[in-house]
Amino acid sequence: MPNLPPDLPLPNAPPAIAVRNLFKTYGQKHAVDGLNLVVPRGCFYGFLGPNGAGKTTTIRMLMGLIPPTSGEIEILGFQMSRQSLDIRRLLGLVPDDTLLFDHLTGGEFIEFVGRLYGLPLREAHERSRELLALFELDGNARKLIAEYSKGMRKRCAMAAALIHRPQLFLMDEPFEGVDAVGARLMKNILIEQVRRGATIFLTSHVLDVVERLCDRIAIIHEGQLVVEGSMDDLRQGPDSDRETLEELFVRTVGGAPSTEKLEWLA
Amino acid sequence: MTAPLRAILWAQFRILRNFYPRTGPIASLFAALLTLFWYGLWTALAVFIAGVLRQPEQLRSVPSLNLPSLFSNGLLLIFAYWQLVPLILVSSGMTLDLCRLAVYPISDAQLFWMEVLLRVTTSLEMLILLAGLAVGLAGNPGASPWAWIALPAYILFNLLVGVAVKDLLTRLLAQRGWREVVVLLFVSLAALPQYVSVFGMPAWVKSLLKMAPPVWLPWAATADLLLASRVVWPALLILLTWLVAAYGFSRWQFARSLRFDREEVKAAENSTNRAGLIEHFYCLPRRFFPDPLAALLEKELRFLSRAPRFRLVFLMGFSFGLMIWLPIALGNLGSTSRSSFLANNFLTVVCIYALTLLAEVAFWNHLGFDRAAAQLYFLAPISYRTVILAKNLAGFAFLLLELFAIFLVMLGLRLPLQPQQFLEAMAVTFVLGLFLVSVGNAGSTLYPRPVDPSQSWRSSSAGRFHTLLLLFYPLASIPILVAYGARYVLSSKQPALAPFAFYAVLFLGIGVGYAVYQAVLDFATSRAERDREKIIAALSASAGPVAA
Repeated sequence: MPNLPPDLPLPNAPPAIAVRNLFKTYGQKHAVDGLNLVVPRGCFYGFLGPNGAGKTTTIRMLMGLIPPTSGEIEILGFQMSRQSLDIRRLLGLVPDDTLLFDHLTGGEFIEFVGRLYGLPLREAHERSRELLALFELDGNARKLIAEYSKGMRKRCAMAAALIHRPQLFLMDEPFEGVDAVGARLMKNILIEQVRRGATIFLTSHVLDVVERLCDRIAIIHEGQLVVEGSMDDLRQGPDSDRETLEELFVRTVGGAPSTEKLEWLA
Repeated sequence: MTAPLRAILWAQFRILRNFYPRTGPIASLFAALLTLFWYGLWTALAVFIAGVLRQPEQLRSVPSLNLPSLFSNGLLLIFAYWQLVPLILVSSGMTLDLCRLAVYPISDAQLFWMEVLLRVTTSLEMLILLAGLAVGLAGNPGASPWAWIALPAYILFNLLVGVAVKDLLTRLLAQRGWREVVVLLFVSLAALPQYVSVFGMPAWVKSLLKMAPPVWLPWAATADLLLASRVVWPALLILLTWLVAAYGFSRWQFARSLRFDREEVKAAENSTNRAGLIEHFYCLPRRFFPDPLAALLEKELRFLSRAPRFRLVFLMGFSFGLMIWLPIALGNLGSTSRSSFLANNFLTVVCIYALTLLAEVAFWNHLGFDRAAAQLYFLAPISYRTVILAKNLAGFAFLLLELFAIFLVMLGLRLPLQPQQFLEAMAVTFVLGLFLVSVGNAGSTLYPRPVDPSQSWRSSSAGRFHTLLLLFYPLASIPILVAYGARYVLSSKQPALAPFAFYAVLFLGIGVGYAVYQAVLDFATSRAERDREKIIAALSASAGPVAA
């Protein structure tokens, strides 16, 4: 792909993501419960939480897939409620599996996404071919996405997210099922994207990767923001400088379950 | 044409092309010929329509022919086809789901009109017919000039309603309870031709078809405009009103589908989940069997009763089965020996029909139907024999429930039901079931095929196995045929002995069936041990089009 000039954010630019008092309610349950969040531009942001904490629901609202029950979402200075089309032009998405088209090949899907973002046909085709090669999916050019493994599906989704060179990436578990080589490649690409000024907002359960990559981290639990800040901000205690993200995470969301509670397992 | 629209049409084309397995040149040629034949038929019909419409005076001269009624009913058929066929296509994943494009920079209005346009590609047959209609009218100097407004308006009306119906049903099909009702409705619609062929057209439908349809219906208004047979202004106003209403309804439905949140549906479903009587049913096996058989059996009962596809088939067994066989049995009572046999053995026929329906989901491909669990069967310290036994017992438990449901429905409908009919139906179904379950055990092990239990329409077993079933059905039916033969022969010579002979043969059939069952179980167990890698590989493949 051609080397494009960096598009680093202006000092007074609005944040990449600003979420105010966001709620999403299913029946009696608040999946997201009054979330307030500001993600600066050019930041590698990790959005963490235990299973069922409301991460995917939040990211689906940020993508515009589901409307919030109440609250405001502002992405790159645009209001989600009024300017969703402007927002969508600037996003690169690695959603969960459901947004891929099973009956297209990987190359067809990436090219299709490029064309939806308004790339000329030839350019979309060329970039799709290059991205397939970059993500080592070109060996399975005739394979349908339905036949892809989970890791291949994630790589394909990531390749599609890159095709229009977006300003903000929203990624739901991008490393899930991806092998070590693929994950390394994806990490390098993401770091490169942050260097050129893009913002990455990702959810992941691979905490050591998040710890190494992310500038800022937010942890939500039962739909509510529990902690937010850089790793240095969040570390506590006498040996705080040695506290890992895993320890921090466990401390924040309620402690490790003790196997001593089950005598037969001891 | 905008770039996203071109991209979407291109993707739709690729999806249609990719949907079919990539095969060799002969198979491709065969597929091309088949497509040519299919659309050729529609084109021939369109040419015929065009030819007739060039000289409508000839039609007008036929005294018994009610031309407005003919046109109106023809347009109604076009409407019905247009709405039904795309729904079947979307159920099998052949159409692009535009709701997935809501995250891309395309406005909702653009997406909506793309969806409308995609409805064109999903019902080309009707466009061919309407093109024939247009060509015929164009070649007719006396044709109504209003036709050139009416035809495009009617096409647009169909497209808009198509979008609305598809969106509404897609959302309904995502909801438990509604899904079963909607699919049952569609299956019942598919049975309509059989009803008509057995009973003939009901008199009220005949008279309805003969009379001039009310002008306020969209097809009637379109027919009026095409023929200019009445004052056209009211018809034009009616058609345009329908068009506006269809636009409003389809925009509303599309907007709802675009932001449809399946999690919301799941949350609502979970909030109404109550562990009641059904939980006692699931726990029954632990009272009668030891673990691991009881555990496996309980798991099967829970899984099957929660699988949408199984629920639908179970529902069909006692509803659709009765609906389809009842008119045949009662309608032909006493007319011929064959149909009176059917009437006398109606209950048995319905029960066997229910068995064959259940066999599709519970017997033929039981490993593939619950493929997620298949690996566990080979990893856990349990014998494959126990796994199959649990699956078979679960299948028979549901068969028993199905038969009771049939009896209850018959009692509810106050249909004649004798105790001996009840006993006979149970015995015959059990003997046939014993043989069929053996066939299923062999088939499930030899031809495992991954299946999505949430898909209600697609066949669940492998094509090759389906061909073999054509051979096995008659073989499995031999004990039953012999039993009926014995009763028939003895009923004239020694009527008192006839029932005894009948049940004696069936009892013998149970003995033979049990021996066959044991032999097949041994065979399947040894094959599964030998081919476990092949089985797991086959079941791990995606349920996508190539694997299917």
